[in-house]
Parts: sequence; structure tokens; C-alpha cells
Amino acid sequence: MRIITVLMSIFLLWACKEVPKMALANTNDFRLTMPQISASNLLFHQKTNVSIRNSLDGATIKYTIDGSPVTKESVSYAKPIVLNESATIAAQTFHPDYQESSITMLQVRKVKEDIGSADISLVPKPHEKYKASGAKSLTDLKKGTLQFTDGQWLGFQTKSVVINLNFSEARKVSKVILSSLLNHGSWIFLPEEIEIISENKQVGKLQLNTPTESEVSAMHYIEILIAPKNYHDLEIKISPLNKIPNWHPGQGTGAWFFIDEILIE
Amino acid sequence: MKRSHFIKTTGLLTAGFLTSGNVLAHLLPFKDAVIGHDSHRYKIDMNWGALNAEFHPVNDCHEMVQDSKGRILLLTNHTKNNVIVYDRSGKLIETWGTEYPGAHGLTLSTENGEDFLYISDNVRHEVIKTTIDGKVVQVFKCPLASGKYKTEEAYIPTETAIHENGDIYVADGYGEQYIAHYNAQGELLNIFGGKGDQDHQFNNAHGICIDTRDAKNPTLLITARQQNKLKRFSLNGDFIESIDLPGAYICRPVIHNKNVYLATIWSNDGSDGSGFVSILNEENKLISAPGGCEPIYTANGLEKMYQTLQVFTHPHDVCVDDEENVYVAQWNSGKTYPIKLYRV
Repeated sequence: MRIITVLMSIFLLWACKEVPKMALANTNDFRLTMPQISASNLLFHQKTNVSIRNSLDGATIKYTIDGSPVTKESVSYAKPIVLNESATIAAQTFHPDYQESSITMLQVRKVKEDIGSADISLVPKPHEKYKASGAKSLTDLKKGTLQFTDGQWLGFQTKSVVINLNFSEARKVSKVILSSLLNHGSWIFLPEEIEIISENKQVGKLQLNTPTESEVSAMHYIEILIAPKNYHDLEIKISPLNKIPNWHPGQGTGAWFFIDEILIE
Repeated sequence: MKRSHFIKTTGLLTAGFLTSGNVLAHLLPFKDAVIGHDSHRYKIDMNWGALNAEFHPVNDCHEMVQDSKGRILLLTNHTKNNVIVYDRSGKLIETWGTEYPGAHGLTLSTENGEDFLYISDNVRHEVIKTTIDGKVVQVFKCPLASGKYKTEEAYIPTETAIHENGDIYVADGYGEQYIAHYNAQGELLNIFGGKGDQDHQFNNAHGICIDTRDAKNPTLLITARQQNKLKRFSLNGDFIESIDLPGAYICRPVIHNKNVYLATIWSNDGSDGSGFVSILNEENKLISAPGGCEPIYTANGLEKMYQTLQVFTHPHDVCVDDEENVYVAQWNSGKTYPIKLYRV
């Protein structure tokens, strides 16, 4: 009897649907929007608070902080997460009726060395439109966002960018990290090559891969290993991408290079 | 069967069906999606007004209005048919217009019992007044006499608002951000606003309307889209107040009964495809956001808005019809036709 009722109800629903010439969308026609992940500080000394939102009724946010892929079985988000180590947070929204969202990620990074007191200089000056607060912005631990116009990024369209760091006391350094932006749609590329020089001698060098079409907009930490020892000064010589590859509308011309922070470890 | 009645019936049936058990719920062939909050919730018809693109193509679907006969008019910047006229069910009635490459703003004004349209064309750098079937009546050009413009090209009008006395206000949303105020004869009476961060200035004065909800004291509502604000001015161009809608990149205000409806093209930090629809109440508080998160007000005002469900890509205008249903025209959304929302 129950089955007959069910079948009749289904028939009625369908029959009813035929009357007007409209097709109302079903819940499973739509995908949930990626959750919004935000952190009190993207760069931090002690700890940072990470919150994730998508407030749709009945939606559940699942997340990981160890770099593993998010699945339905991952931990459910309930309240802000306190992190005291560097992490990549990945999150996805699920709902019984709607299609799951795509996965969104956010990187937070523990700062091991404070270089806010170091003397920093910059040649040439950044572009007038993207100059943040000048060279000092590179050590203020204020990260930019994916929006390159947010006032935290220094933008360059030059053949080279040279940054000089002078420490008041020699300090042990084994790694230099540049926080840079990739947004090919806005002609912003990662640099071609980075060279670290101290006392006129090269102490580290990194060549980056040729950019490909499939790379999506993201912030990147570029890590350059250098000979571990005590340094008084470091010269960071950046060669922005000289020729945009052929797959891009800007092929053959110089790319933009964007940087918002320098870290050392 | 009347449409609204039909929806209620379906809803009841669905509800009754669902209560018969969770196991059975999985047998349901469909479950209507419902978006929006509180008093303003909607079911969705994604295919309303879809036409054969070979014969009736659209590029951006910029704006929509309902005329005195109850017909729904869509303005697109495709010059094969700049204006597409539908009935409420989405059936094509007629098309016209081939000379509006920058067709962007569409405002309806009923003057002495006759419907007229004001088309803001941002490629032609002018506003064109036409009859309801497309005969050109008047052209409002760049207000060079104001001294605010060096060339006609610097003027890129996006929207108009028509006062019942015949005065016309033009928002130069993609140009120098001025609001030009003309009389019905096309003489410039005033110009105000301009580019900037101050209260009386704009960053993307995209849309404008006359707020007639207080009948004795009509005022202008103008969107400052990049600033996520709706700004109120007197008809003389004096700044009155700002309504903050953080995270909502609002296109144009549309007054319907006691509410203001605004297509919201982007949300949150302004990323692509993050649009929704905003609905304000009498006090200009956001009460429903179909496609967006639930609006929450705290002591600091409205919490930053963001999209929760990918129903819309880039809503550019809404039209609310006499049955309280909403049509959503979208910019840069894969040349799709408008979406209709049925109030539940």
C-alpha cells in the first residue's frame, strides 16, 4: 500500500510539473561555493586563529591541516582553529542536498626569525601603483592577499630587482624565503631566477620552472637555500620573467613581479 | 493553474512526502532548490527565457524592466537584438534594436500614460530615449558644458533615473563618476558626485533610482559598487547618508513596494563568479540574499557578505514583477539568458 502511495505521489509530482512550461531547478543542480578560510595572521610568531565559513543551512565544512586531501570523513569544522606551527589548511563544504564545493586552501606560516629591525633597501623603486609602504613593507609581516591591488604588494616591471638586507649583528641563515604572487591573468608571474650574494660572493641561487598555462592564481613562498653560516648582509638579486611564454596574450614581453614579504630561517 | 498556486501545491506535496520517512526521501525524483532568507525565499528556473542563440543571441544580459502591459524587457549588448521582449512565462514576444553596441542601462518611465525607455549606451557615450517599441525620441549627450569633461569619450553612462516631473539623472558609472541632472528638454541643471572616497563621491556610480517609498520626500539612491555602499542624495544633489553593505558589489537599486532589490555582481573580496541578489527592507537593512549567506547584523553593522551556493555567476540587474517574482540578468555569464526566481 505504501509503495502505491509513493508511486502515486511521484506521478502526481510529475503530472503537476507538466502544467506550466517551467522547470524548477533541483537542489542537486547546484554546487556549494568554496568555504572562506581566514586567519588572524598569515605569518605569525606564536599562534594564529583560523576560521572557516559557509553558513548555508545544513552545510558542513570538512578540513585538514596536514596537507592531506579533504574527504567526507575529514574533521568537521565547529569553531576557530588555533595553530602554532606552519600549516596548509584545506577545506570543503558538504550538504545532503547540494553538490559539494571545490576545495579551497590557505597557507599559514610560522616566522622563525624576526628581521623587522634589519636595514633594507631596494633598487629600483616599485611601480607607482603598487608600492605598499616601500622596502619596509617587506619585513613588516603583513601579508598581501590574492588581490594585487590591496596595498600590501610591491609590483615591478623591470629587468631586475635588488634587495639589500643588513643585520646589525651577524646572524645564522640557511634559507631565504620570498613571498610572491602568481596571477597570469593579470600578467603577474613568478621570477625566472633568484641569486643571493654576500660580500661579493654568490651564496645561493634558484632557477624557477617555465610558467605553464594551467597554474592558477596563488601566493607562493619561494625558498632559496644558501650556504649556512653567519651573515652580516645579504643581497637578493631577482630576475623577473623576461619573456612571457607563447601561450599567453602577452607573449614575448616582460612580466610583472610582485613581492610582499621576505623571511629568513 | 496559476503559477504561484502551483508552487504552493508542489511544496505541500513535497513536504507531506518527506515526512513519510527518510528512506523514502531518497526515492524523490527531485527536490526544488529554495534560496533566500526569511520573508523573501525563492524557487529557481534556470531556463526562463532561453532562446535559440542562432536567431536571438545575447552577450551580456545587462538590465530588465516590466512595462505597463506586464511584459518583461531585456537589454543586451548584442546588436542583432538589443531589446528582447518576453511575457512572464519567458515566451518571446518580439525583439528590436541593432544600434546599441554598448547597451547597458534600461529604465522605464511612464509619461502621460505612455511607456518610454531610457537606454544608457557606454560605447556611444550617450543616453537614448525611445518609445516602448524602439523609436528614438531624444538623445542626451555628454554634459560638456559642465566643464567636467574634456572629451565626449570620458563620459561612460551606465544608468538613468527619471523623476515624475520629467527630470532625468544620469550616472556616469564607468566614466568620471558624476551624476548629471537634466530637465525633460535635455538642459543640464546640475552635476554632482565625481571620483573619490569622500561621502559625496563615488567609485563606480553604477546604478541610480528615485526612492519613492517616502512619497512626500523622494530622494536618489545611487550605488557605489566598488565601495560596497548605497548612497542617498537629495534631488538637488546633496549627500544624505550611506548604507553599508560590506562584501556586496551592488549594481543598481530597484524599488518594489517597501523593498530595495539589488543585483550583486561579486561578493566578499570580489572574486569571479561570486554574485548573488540583495534584498533590503524598509529600514534599508539587508534581509535576504538569494545565493548568498544569511545577513547578520552585529554592533559593527552587517557582517561581510559572501556567496554560499553557485546559482548565479555575475548578476547585473533584477526586475521584480507584479507577482513578486524576480528576474535576474547576468553580465559575463556564458551568454546565458535571465534566471527567474519564483517567490515561495
